[in-house]
Amino acid sequence: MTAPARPRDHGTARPDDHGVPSVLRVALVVGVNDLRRKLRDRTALLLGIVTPLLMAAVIGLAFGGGISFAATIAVVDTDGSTISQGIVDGLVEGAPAGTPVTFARATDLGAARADLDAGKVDAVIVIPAQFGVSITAMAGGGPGATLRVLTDANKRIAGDVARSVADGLSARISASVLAIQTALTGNGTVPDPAAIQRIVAQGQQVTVPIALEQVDAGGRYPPVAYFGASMGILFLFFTVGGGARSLITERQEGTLPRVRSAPVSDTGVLLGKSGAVLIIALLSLVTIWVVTSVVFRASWGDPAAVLAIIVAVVIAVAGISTLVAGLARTDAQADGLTAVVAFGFALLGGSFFQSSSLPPVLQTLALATPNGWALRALTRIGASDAGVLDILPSAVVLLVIGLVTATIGVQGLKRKALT
Amino acid sequence: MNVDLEPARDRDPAASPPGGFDDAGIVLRCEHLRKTYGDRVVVDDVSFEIARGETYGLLGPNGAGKTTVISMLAGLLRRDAGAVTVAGRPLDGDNRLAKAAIGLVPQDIALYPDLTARENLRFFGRLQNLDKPTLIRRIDEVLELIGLRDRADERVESFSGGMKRRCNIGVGLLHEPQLLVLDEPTVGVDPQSRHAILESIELLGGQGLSVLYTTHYMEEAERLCDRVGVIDEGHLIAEGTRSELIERVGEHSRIRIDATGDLATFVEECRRMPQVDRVSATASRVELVVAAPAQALGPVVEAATRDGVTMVSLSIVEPDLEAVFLDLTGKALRDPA
Repeated sequence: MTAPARPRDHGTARPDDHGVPSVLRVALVVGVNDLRRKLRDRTALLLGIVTPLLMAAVIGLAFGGGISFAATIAVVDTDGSTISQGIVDGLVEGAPAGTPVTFARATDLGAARADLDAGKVDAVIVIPAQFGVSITAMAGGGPGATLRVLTDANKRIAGDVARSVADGLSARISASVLAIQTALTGNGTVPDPAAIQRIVAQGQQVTVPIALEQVDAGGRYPPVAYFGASMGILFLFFTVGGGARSLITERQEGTLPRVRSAPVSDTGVLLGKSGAVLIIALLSLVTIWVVTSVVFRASWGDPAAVLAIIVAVVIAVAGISTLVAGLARTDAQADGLTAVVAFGFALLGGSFFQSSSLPPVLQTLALATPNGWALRALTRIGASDAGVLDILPSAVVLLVIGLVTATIGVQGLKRKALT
Repeated sequence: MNVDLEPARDRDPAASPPGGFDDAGIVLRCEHLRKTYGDRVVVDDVSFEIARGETYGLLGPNGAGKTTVISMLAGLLRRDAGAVTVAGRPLDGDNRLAKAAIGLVPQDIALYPDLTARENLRFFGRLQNLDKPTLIRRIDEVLELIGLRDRADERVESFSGGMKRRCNIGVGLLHEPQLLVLDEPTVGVDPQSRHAILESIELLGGQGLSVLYTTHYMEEAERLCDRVGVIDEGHLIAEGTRSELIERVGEHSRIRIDATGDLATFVEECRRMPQVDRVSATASRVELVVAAPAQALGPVVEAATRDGVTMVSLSIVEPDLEAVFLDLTGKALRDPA
């Protein structure tokens, strides 16, 4: 060390020459310092900004802005009877426009298999030889005929659709046969040939026997928005949890005692540190919101309502993280507890599966988590055009969760870090 | 046991107008401090004062209670009993004005490693409520003082241990405190940095800054401090200037023997010798407090030979604070290196 630039008389200045900083100034200085450090910390950036962005990107690529399904099902007629030709014509030409399933004629079974293996078609319905004869025999009490379905193990939905189509066809044919049997044997009278002809003609009027409608998860709420929000809330526990634990870490490293040795109040220090954590958490969720909205064109709904829920859930997660940090005895214990709480709440709250698709008991349990309340409110905003007033109860519940848990947690943190 | 305040160095208190002191020119007044953790008493009835411009040393071994005392007077630790007044302001209730008078330099490096030296100084300066022009000026002055002007914009994590220590001290000086509190600032520092740190503290003391300096290095206390308080097991067991404390032990010298062999028998035999006042021993070192080294030396060497002790080295140490501590507590201030 070298001599000071100019000698100073340390005996002349009074301690209050500079005065003491106000609580708000302390909060601002501490908060800005924490923000600067967080923004320089690559791990925090990864957890708070990059990961949500990646998640949003992956979800966007996976769903392309919405769930879509399309399948091509080949139909092979190895029978060549009037009945089988009628079925093929009905499927190929009778599928209504806009249906995500199309049917294609295959020349023979070998070509159909080759197309299935090559991925050109997603499933194959095979009308076996002697199918028409078997159907005719059914009217006289024969054993009936069987449609075969070939599927690709990697295209289960298309396979299920093909099976449903075949089942539907079988049901219709059986109904027609039953009607003919009734016409032939009814009342012991001679059957009317015209009536039998009508029944046969109706049986040949094949239409696609199942209805396929594309419905997004959560009504009209885009999956990329839903899962972007749900993953964002999950990661909040880690970004916010790290902030809450920083008080303990800084105490161990000596910087917190040094801060507290300055003429500052503990309230100002706590406010500043909490403010920095909340801003980082808000940035994280808002980033997901913006990216999914702009890049994937997934509308979250009324911005004011979305923002209200984002703020409320950030406060709720901050409160719970403070409680976890306040209860844990060590840093490592706090880490473990955070992971358990984060994933437990995510599972229960519908972060991995939409709670609306779960049994009623689990749907009720979801409301024991901030994830459940936030996702329910966001789904309402996105799917039902709900506004701020509509989701106010959810926001209030989240705020209460946050404030109650934070109040208890701060007491524990004060005991550990500020005494 | 307390000794009247009488700074050893020549300073003229009247040269400066009254500042942050009470009527008696006292910067720090600690009265009957007590701290317990459960049933364990870590600081008990500790009282001392530091006058304006005085450098006061708190000398004691590790675990004696030095850091606990400092934490209490810096407002970081709640005391169970006693009173603290800093620059005439009691450290009770809203203690912010009292804390503003203290510049604390903790034992550990309390800096943000991911910030530069200048950013660390700026942050802690803002917490001291320094206005912008003052802050800019003081940061430059402190960087000059601690010799880090050229490295000011580099992150602290890239600094050597000595540079971090200097920056650690710089933060404590930033707001021109009335009282600089240094908690073992040379622990783990290389000799060159240590020398630089001690030189700076001497310089600051010479400029009229009051300093509280804790250490378990007797040489540092002797070099820097006008008065020394000897603390052990939470009790302030003696206080005074170096000469006053040495006078307490009767100008006794020490015979220091580094040896191998059956030291237990040798120590017992030494204790029985009329020429030896007090004995302390570790696994490889025996220290004897004696009034007349020349008369004690012969019998001691004979006993060592008789007990099969092989002496590696033998030296006679003139009275110092180490001897004071040994005399007062019956144990060495620190383990031999």
